[in-house]
Amino acid sequence: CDPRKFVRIPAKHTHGRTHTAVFARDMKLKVISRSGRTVLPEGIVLPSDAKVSDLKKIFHEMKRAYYPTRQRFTTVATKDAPRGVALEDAKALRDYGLVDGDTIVFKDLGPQVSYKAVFFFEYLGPLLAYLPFYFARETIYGKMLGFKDAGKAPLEAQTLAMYFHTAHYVKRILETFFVHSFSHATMPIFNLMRNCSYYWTFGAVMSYFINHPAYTPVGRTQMLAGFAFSAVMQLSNLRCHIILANLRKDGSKAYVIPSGFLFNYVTCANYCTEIYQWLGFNIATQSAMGYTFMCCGAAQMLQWAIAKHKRLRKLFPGTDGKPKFRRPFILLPPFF
Amino acid sequence: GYIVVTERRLGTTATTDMARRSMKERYLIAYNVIQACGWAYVLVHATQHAWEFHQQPTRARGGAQLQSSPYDIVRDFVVTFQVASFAEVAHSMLGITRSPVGAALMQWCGRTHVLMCALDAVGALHGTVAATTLVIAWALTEVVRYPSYALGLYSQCPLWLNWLRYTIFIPLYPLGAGAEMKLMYDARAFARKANMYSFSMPNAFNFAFDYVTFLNGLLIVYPFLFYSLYSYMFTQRKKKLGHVTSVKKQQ
Repeated sequence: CDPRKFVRIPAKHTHGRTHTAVFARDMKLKVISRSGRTVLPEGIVLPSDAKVSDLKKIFHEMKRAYYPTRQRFTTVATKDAPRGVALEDAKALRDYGLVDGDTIVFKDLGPQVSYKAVFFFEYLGPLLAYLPFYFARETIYGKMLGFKDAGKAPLEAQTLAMYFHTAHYVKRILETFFVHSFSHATMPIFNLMRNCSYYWTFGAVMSYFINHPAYTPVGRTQMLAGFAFSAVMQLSNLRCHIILANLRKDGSKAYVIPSGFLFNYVTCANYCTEIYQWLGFNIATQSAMGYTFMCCGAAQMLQWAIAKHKRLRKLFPGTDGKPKFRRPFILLPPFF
Repeated sequence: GYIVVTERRLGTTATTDMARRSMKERYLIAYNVIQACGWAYVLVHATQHAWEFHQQPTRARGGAQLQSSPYDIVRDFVVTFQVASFAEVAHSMLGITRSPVGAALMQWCGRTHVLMCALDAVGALHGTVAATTLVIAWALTEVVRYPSYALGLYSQCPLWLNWLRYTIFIPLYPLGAGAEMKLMYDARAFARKANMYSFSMPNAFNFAFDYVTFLNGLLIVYPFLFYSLYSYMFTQRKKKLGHVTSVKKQQ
């Protein structure tokens, strides 16, 4: 909002239009909610070349409760766009054909929390929840739950499992702060509750059974092979994340086909290595809850992988000078 | 909703001639009609016997039963039609209907678990007030819900039936949920004695399940699930029995 761009018209030339924009290159928009209620009775005044992010900043100044990441604007519903067209931050309002006197629709996305904060808490939970069952086994299994020989030394499999589980979540937390670049700044706060319940519960329950005094380990060869495979997959997963973080240069929002390393063969190589990482862990520790956790994660990642594969195929059809996107596998070679 | 509201018709096809309908519609209408009949039978027979049965002096009920409990009389029907309602989960999975799979699955699992594990498996609970309440509350709800679906598919759900559907839940949901919780609460003592559905470690898959702990967990979670379902029904009620129709239609 550079004031030097504006030309002030003296009052006597406004022809009695005291309620419209005073500056020549301003526009005033009406803001309504999705149910038709007026949100801003006085409308919102913006320079006609304002971007959507400017709109959100000014709206925030007028309604302090709604910070920019909580605001969502669309154009009014039409036959072609029954829910209106969503206004993207980087674009200018006039790119959507909005001019002085037009109406835009506001939606409150609810309290938002940053992606980094969500990831941090949802990964810190299982990391910490796992440990008491390993380090305070006599208290938990013995004193609290009354199992016999709760104080006996942990088995090799249990010790390795604890290190692997902890290392996995330490890696995830470090990636959150040093590797991942997020395309959205925030998510609704409900997601924080839901994600944390999922991770924290599974972390605790898996740990309860693996560190149990009556835990039955698998053969040593199987255990070592499982952990070795898991370690290889964890490192591959890290490499995949680094490749993904470097895909977009300079904050561009354009889609780029991930390539290099396993991405040449699998669309979602990052999910692939993650699932196989847990498979290795489960082969080594063999617990029903461990396998269940892996399957739940795999089911969710399957949905995401199918959507991503479809999106890339649509965006890169091989015509109009765009490369053709094609991969032998979507999520889990050699199966799918 | 949005400003431009396309008026949602409660029916689907204009024709009432069954022969000209798609196979899917014919199947769905038949399914809903069959379910409606099953639950109507349950409602009639359960209510017929409920009053007499629960009027019996406790002394007589404690020993030999003077007559079968309402639950025992309708048990086969309730079990059959409740388990068969898994079809609704299948319908949403296959895309035949538009309801969300997760919600349908959770509903079915919740109800079927209470019916089969907490009630049917524990003979001593068959004659309780909670069992009778459960059966009658469920039957009353279904005897309104299934016909409203069938009529909606066939032509148009009559306004009075639609009103019933979005109003009787108000007393029936708490009654049903309360009965379910009471049954689970009482079932715990029997489950502990008979060690129902439980197994312990050590075993090859390093997993243990204690049914009583499971029931305790469910009892804690139930009020929250009930609250979200109940409030969802109220917002649906406002939408379907809407009182702002004139404003919406103008825009």
